[in-house]
Amino acid sequence: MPNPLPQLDSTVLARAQHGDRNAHAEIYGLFSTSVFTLARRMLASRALAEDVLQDTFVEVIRKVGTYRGDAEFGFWVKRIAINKCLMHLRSSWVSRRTDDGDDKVALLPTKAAGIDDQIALERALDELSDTARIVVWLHDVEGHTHGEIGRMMGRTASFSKSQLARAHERLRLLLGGAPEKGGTNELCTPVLKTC
Amino acid sequence: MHPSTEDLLSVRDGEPLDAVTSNVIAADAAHEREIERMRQVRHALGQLPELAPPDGMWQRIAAVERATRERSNVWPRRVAGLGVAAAVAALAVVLIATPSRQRGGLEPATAPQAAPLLTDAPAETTRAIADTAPPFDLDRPFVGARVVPTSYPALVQESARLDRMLRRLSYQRPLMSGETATTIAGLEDRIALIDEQLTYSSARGVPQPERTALWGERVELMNALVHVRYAQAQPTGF
Repeated sequence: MPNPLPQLDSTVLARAQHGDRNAHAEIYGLFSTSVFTLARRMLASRALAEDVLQDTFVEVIRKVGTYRGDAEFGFWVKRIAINKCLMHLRSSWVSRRTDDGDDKVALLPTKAAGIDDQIALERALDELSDTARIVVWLHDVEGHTHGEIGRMMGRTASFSKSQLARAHERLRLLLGGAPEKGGTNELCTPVLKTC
Repeated sequence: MHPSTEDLLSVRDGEPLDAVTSNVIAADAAHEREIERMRQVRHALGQLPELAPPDGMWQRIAAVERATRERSNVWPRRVAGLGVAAAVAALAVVLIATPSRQRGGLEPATAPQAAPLLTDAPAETTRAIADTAPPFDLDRPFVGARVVPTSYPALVQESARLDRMLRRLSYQRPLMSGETATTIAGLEDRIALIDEQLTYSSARGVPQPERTALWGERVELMNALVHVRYAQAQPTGF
């Protein structure tokens, strides 16, 4: 699971809802890393993740006055970011746009696992189809249910389930797993050190 | 019987699975190992480090937000001057400005070109709004009105169809005027807002008729977005 979302102080929220620019900046400071991480992992592109980061916070500033506390503020921000990611995948430029080749990002300190393993996993994640990558991230990392993911994508829970299965099958191949003799799945995944 | 990856993931995630499949999985150590491997992948994904956004992003965002706010203040005065497919843009503007529940939802919207109404869906569960001729064909011109179902599953299906259509249109033409970009941004904002409401609606236990209305509104907005994108993709658009 991702790091827990920071809590927004109610006075900062109140100031932001009254248009205080410093409060907006504080909100950005609190949530920009989680939004950027989410967008980069979902879209597999640093450039698109920057666009989503920008679009998300422009919308957060515009709509913070309408936030009524039905969900945690961080969750509300993330939902906007997820919608922006999904909209990006539907919009015209995405198919033609390519990364600038410099997709390096500043990694923040991590909790466990070797850096080589993580780079391999990150690359494998980027290799998935857009849909499979989004589903595996929303389900396995963000903790959304198949029903929620299906609704977000305008599809069904079954669609989400099948995409998750495809994602894991592809990840198994990309991470070095191979079918066992006789057709059963090989369980060795070198990058994860399970063999 | 050989369990599928979906079955193994169901076990991993503690979701219900039929007894026969469960027994097959439990009886084979290889399946248990595969489930454990997928557990480890999930754990490893969750352990990936957070990524720091680039420096200077906040200044950029603040500037864009200011510019967007200023532009939105003058936007209504510019609606009349939209240069791209005026009729289509007008439909989009109507949809942006007026929620479907306030429009009553039964009168057909104006199509850019007159065409016979398609009536392949049951009359009591359908209503007409402008759309492309079904099945949508990017090689054919925009020609008509489409009957859109109002039942919940059909609306979800129609919404997914429009999503797919939009993805196909995305390959057409990346350049657009500022006015078109503003129209598209307005529609996308409305769709994003509805998506958000739909997500919250299940957690809040919103009644089915209201959720159906939200899906209906989403389909209308998606229709408008497809229209604008389609017009934008035409060689004589602007």
